[in-house]
Amino acid sequence: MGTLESATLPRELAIVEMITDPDAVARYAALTADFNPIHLDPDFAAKTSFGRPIVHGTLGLNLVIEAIERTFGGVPEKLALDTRFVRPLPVGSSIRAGGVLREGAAGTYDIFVETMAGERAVEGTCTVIPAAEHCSKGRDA
Amino acid sequence: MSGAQTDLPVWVFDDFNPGQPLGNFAITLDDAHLDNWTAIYGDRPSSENVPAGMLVAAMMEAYLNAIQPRPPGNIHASQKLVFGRSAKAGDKLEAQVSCLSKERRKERGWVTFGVVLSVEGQDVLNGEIRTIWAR
Repeated sequence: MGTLESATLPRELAIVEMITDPDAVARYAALTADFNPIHLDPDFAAKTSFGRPIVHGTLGLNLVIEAIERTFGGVPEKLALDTRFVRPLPVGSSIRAGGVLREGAAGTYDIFVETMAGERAVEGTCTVIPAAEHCSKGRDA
Repeated sequence: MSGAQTDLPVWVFDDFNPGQPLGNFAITLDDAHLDNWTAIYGDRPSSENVPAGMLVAAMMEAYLNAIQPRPPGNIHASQKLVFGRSAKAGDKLEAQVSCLSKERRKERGWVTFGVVLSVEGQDVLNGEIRTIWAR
């Protein structure tokens, strides 16, 4: 994990895209041991308020982390994310993730996961440079 | 999220107490984890470090293992993550799961769980999972 300087930060994170097809969702269920039928069983999901299977929230969130890693060539030291899951994604959605450097907030990006139609599923911030007060505590504080 | 079918009672809002430890788990970043990750997110440039998102998946695995069974209808509302040192393929993650806080707001029960992942005593990820608990 490398250290970054505010002046060198790109204005936007690399956009990363994926299709959340049933195979990807089944693989994510195996990866996390989360076999909730709301993600995997169309008949079960049809009886819920969602009406169809939905993607695990962190499956989409991880796409933002992929965008961060591709932008910076790895995870910046002390990377911090604060995100909300604002809308469920139906399985099969094509999604993209990225972020834009926030004006006046050194090292903070507004990050998102959204459908190709621009419907946000995840919103929040990531901070790639810790605030000064955190830096002053030292690495092992 | 609902848990697997077990004979254990379902975790309900009143069962949680801030500061309560909910379990320690070991998760090895083995070939099965790596294969699943690659099948979902694709190949990536060669690196000795695993993708950071694999740690998020491991955090969820630990959380879901710790709290079984869960009532149907829970909502994963928000997520905080702070990454520490990198992890490598084959590393054994030690996961500590706890209840950080809970509150009732507008007749909904909000519970925040903490998951700390470490390798050989060094933190790799500190996660806060904020949920709306269904019962």
